[in-house]
Amino acid sequence: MAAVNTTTVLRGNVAARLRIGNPAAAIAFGLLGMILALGIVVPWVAGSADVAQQNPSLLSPSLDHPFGTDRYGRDVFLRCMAAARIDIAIGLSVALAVLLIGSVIGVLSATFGRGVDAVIMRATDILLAFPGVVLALIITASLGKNPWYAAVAVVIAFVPLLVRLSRSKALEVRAADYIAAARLSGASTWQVALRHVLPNSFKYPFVQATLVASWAILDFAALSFLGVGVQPPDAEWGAMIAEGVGDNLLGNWWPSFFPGLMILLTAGSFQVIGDWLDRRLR
Amino acid sequence: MTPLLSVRGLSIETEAGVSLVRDLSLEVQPGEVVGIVGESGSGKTMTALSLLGLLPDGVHVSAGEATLDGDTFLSGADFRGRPNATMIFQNPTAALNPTMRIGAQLQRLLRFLERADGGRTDRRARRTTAIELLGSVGINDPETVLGRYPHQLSGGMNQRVMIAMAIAARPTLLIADEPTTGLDVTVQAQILELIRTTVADHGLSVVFVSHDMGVIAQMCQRVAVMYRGEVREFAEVDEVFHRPRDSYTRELLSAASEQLLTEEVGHAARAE
Amino acid sequence: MQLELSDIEVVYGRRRSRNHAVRGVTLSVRRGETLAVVGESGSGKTTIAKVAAGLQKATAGTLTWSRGDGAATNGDGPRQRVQMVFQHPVQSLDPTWKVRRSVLEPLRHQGVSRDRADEQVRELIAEVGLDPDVLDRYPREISGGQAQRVAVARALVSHPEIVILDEPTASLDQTVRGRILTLLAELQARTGVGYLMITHDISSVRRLATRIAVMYRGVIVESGPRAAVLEDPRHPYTRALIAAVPVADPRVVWDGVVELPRNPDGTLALTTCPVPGECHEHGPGLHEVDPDHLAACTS
Repeated sequence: MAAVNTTTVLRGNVAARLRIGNPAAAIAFGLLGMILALGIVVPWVAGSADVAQQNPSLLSPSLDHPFGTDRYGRDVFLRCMAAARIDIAIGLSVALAVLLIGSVIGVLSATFGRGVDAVIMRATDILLAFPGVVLALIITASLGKNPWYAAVAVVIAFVPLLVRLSRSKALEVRAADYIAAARLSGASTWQVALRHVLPNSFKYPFVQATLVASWAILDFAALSFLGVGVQPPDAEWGAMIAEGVGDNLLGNWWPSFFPGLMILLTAGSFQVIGDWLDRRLR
Repeated sequence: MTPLLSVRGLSIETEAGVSLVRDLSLEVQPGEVVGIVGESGSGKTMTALSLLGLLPDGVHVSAGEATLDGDTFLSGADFRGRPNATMIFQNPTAALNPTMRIGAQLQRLLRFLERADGGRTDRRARRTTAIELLGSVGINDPETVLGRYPHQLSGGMNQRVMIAMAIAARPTLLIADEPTTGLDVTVQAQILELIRTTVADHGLSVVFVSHDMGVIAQMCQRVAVMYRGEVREFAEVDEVFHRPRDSYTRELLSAASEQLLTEEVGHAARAE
Repeated sequence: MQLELSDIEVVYGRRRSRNHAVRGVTLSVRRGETLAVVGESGSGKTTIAKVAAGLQKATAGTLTWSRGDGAATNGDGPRQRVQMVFQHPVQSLDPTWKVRRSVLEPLRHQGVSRDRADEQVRELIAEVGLDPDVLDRYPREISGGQAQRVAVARALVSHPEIVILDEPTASLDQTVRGRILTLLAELQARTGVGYLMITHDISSVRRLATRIAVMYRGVIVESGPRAAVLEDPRHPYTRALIAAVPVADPRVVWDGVVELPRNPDGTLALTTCPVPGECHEHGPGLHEVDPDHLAACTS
C-alpha cells in the first residue's frame, strides 16, 4: 500500500541525511578537518613557537616560513597552527555548553510557564540588549584577564539566544497530541519536559549551535585582540592579530593577515556547515 | 454520442519512476457528472490535476492522451495549453489569495477573461458581474462578501466564491477535487446542492473526485473506482453500488455501509 | 464506575474577547457503554473531550468520579483512569520514540516491572491486530491505520475505566475506518471499558454509540439512546445534521439541505420548540420528551 512506499522512502532519507550532498559543505568539512589536523600535528612535531626563535624577525613568507616570521622571529605558520587547537576547541566547547544550557533552560521555561518563564524571559531580554561581544567584554573585564573567564563570558553572551530559540520550539512541541498522551499516561511535568519536549525540540537549537561555534570563535578572538582573553606569548589568532597590527603599518602584513585568514576560514566553515545542517535536518 | 472529455491510457509517474497512475481511460459525456472514488494514494487527485496541467514538481504524465471537445490538449508529457475547464479544490480558503479581498480577486479574474476574449468593459460593469456571480452561488449579501478577505469567511462561503470563479470562465468541464472534504456536514449538503444546480443550469460536465461513497452516490451518473493508480471498475453508479464486479469496490461499499464489520480483526490489520 | 461532568462551563479569553466554548453541559459515561458527543466545528465538543480528560480546567462545573455505591471521589485528577485516542494517530505518538516505548509508558509510570510490562504490551499489540515487529518501528515508519491501533493499545494498556475517543477515525481512509471501529467495539466487549466518543461523523455514531449527545454552539441540544436520537430526532438541528449525511445508495433520493431559520449572524434561530407544551411553561434548557430522551428548548 502507499504507506509502505512512504516508509521505504523515509528510511532512505534517514540514511541519506548525513551524506554530504553539497559541494560547499564538503569543502567546509575538508577545510575544518585539515586545520584541526594541522593544529594537532604541527605543534606536536615542531613545537608551538611561543618563545622567541633564532630566526630573523619579520621575514616575508617563503618556503621555509610559509606565513613568514613575526617581529620576535617566531614562525607565524607554527603559531597559527598552535592557535588552531585553542580556537577550534573554544568554538566547539562554547557551542556545546551553550546548546546544553540554553536548550534545557528554554524547555523548562516553556514547560513551567508563568513565573519561571517570566523571570527567564526578562533575564534573556536584559542579556540580549547588549551585542554579544560587548557583553562578553564587560563580563571578562569585571572578572579579570584570563582565557577561561573569556570563554565563560562568551557562553553567557550566547546562552540567551538559544534559550529563546529552544523555548519557542518547545512551546510548539508542547501543543502536540503526544504530549497530552504522555500527561495522561501519568508522566510528571519534569518527565514530559525532559523525555518528550527536549528531544523533540532539540533539532533547531542543534543547528543554531553550529553557528554559535563560528560566532564564538570570532568573539573569543575579539576578546583576545582587546587583551582580555588569551595573553601573549600564548598563541591565539586574535592575540596574534593584536601583536601584528603595529607591523602592518610598515607594510609587514603577514603577522596579522594569516591569523585573520584562519579566523575567516574556520568561522566561515562553521557557517557553511550550519547552513547545510539546517537544510538537511529540516 | 461523442464524449466531451476523453482520456485514453493516461499514466503518471514521479521523476524517480514511481508509478502513480497506470493506463487510465475515462469518458465524460456532455452534461454528465463522472466520479473518481478512491482512498489516499489511489491516484485520483493526480489524475484530476494532470487534466489541467497542474501536476506538482517532480510528477509528470508519462503516457496517454486527453481530448476535450475534439481537441487533443494532452499527449504524453506534452501539455498543449489549458482546455476550457476549471477546477475547485479541497481547501477553498487556501486556494484563494489571502492578501486580496474577494472583490479584487473576482474582478481581476473577470478582467483577465475579458482581455482573453478581446473585449473591454469598465470597472463598474465588472463589479456588477461579480455581484451577479456571487448571487448566483447563493450568497445573500454579495456586496459585503466582495469587501472581505478569505480568512474572514467560513470554508463553505469560500467554496461558494471558488465555484463563482470557476463558472465565470464559462467552462464546458468542471473538475472538482474533494470540494466538500473538511467542511461541516450541514455545509457540505449545501455545497453539494449548489454544485448540482450550477451544473444543471450551465450544462457543465464534471469530473468529481471524492473518497466518500455517499457523496459519489448522490452526485454522479457514472463512477470510476481507483485503487493504487488503477481503475478497478468504471460504470453507472447504480451498477457499481448494487452490482459491484470488483472485490475492492465491495470493500469500499461495505466500509461505507453502516453495519459493523464482522471480519477477523487481525486479518484486517495486516491488510493495512 | 462512572465519569460525570455536571454544569460544565468553559470560557476562553477575558473581558471583551470572552468566548463561551461550552455552556452548562452535563453528561455521564459509564463503563461498558459508548456516549457519542456529536457536533460540527465550533460546537464545543473538543473542549468537552479535554475537560473530561483533565487536560483543560473548566471555568465552572464539576468533574466527578463515582463508584457503584454512590461514593464520589472529587478533586484528584482522573488521570490513568481516563485515557485518550486522538484524531491524528501519527501525531499522537512521540516521533523520537519507538512504538514499544510509547505503549510501555503508562505502565512504567504505574510502576509495573519491565518484564511484566513487556509481556502485557506484546499481548495487547496482538489484541489490536498488529504484528509484534511494529513495536520496534518509529511512528513515521507505520501507516495511519497501524498508528491508530498503536494509540488504542497505549490507551488500554493501563486498564482505564474510560477512554476518550477524539474523532478517532476522521483522518483515516474509509476502509480502515470501519476496521478501527470494529476493533474498538470488540475491545469494549472484552474489557468493559467505557468510551466517550467525540465526532462529527454520524456513520461512526451509528456503529459504536449506545447513547448520543448532540451539541450545537456549546450546548447540548438533544441527548438519548442511539435509536431514539437517530430514528426519532426531536430537535431541528439534530434533524438537519442527520439529513445532511449523503446516503451511499444512488437509488435513494437524498436532499440533504434542511433549511433552518437563521439569525442575521448565520446562527440558528430555533423558533420551533421540540418540547411538547408551551415554551413559557417549561422554559429554556433540556427537557424530557420521552423516557431518557432529552431535547432542548432554546426559544
